[in-house]
Amino acid sequence: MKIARKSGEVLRGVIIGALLLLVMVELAMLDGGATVFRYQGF
Amino acid sequence: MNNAAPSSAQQFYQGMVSHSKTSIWSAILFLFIASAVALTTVDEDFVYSDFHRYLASHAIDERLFVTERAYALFSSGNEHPKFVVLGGSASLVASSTPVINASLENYGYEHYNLAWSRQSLLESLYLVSRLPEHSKGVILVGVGPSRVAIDRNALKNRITRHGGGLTSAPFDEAMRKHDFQPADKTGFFLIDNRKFLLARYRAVLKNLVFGAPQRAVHAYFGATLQGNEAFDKIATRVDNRIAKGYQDSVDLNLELLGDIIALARSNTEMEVVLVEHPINPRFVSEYLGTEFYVAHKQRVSDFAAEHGVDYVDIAAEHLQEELYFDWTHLAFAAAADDYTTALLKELSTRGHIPDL
Repeated sequence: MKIARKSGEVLRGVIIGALLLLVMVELAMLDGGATVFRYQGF
Repeated sequence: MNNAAPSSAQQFYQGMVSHSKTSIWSAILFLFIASAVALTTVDEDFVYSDFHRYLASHAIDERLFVTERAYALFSSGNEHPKFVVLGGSASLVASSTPVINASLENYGYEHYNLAWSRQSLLESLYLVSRLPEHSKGVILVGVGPSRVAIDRNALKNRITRHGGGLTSAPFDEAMRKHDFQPADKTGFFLIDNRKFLLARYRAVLKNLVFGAPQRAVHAYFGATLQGNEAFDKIATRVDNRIAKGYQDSVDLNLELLGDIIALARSNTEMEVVLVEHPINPRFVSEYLGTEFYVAHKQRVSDFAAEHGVDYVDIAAEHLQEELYFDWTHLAFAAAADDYTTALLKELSTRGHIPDL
């Protein structure tokens, strides 16, 4: 039973971690997007 | 009241929705492992994949996948001759991909349109510095008043704005020669090239959301600012920018152009051809000044003669005022096709590409 609960907690952590990673990439993209390789709106 | 012990599924759910130190540590551990795996596995070989070549060849002249095309060029080997276009958006729009492909495919050429909006000669130099050794073919370098009027500070910013990505041994050497500080490197490919790579991620996302990207030329084709107030605004702004920077910056930019020629000669078997990019005759007569433009062309022409490269200037013969969208970009696909056909013919006559 305890294992089931721990698994849930770990999965929650992994999901939060993955979302954080996405947010970090998105934030970095704001910077990356400022380069010449951005979607150039002319 | 239900006193029965919760089932495994209920326990699992409880774990999912409650705060606990375990989930926080799991998140941290996940981030750490994900970053470590990414940092140690993603390198140039990882990026030089067939997938990325596929993207490059299927998105040959639009705005999103220029990074892909750059990496495809860097890893292209020297088996096939290459047709490389460097320059600003004027060159990008005027180079008709269908015409170039149809004309050169039979001769086995690989076509890389690596022009992008406001590309400086410094960025062109970087691209040339990454050409595979012994590459054959031709590099067209778009020149025009705006390309050689970019001042030292703006050029300096171009080195840092790409993160540590804009770096290679010959490029860094050239930067030191001109008193520029080469980009800082961490040694981790993923970090140093983050801006290139993130742009790729962004491009793929946009592609998924909005469908296949349009060719860059579609930003201009089908409309024109001639006779519109916007034309006057743009022309005035661009004229100011060029007039302000030209005299102070032209020497430095031509030196960078000299480096491009020298690097192409020492590292590859490719020929550099300077191409005066299209410019609206109305912009020249009403804003830039004919005298200024003629002096600019003479300067580039003298430079080309001095460095033993060809300088092609045929835009004026083939492109009338009404074919332009604004001060420099063409407004019609047919105009770009005609111009590119004439340009290829000229290159062929001068012996840079096979007889067409």
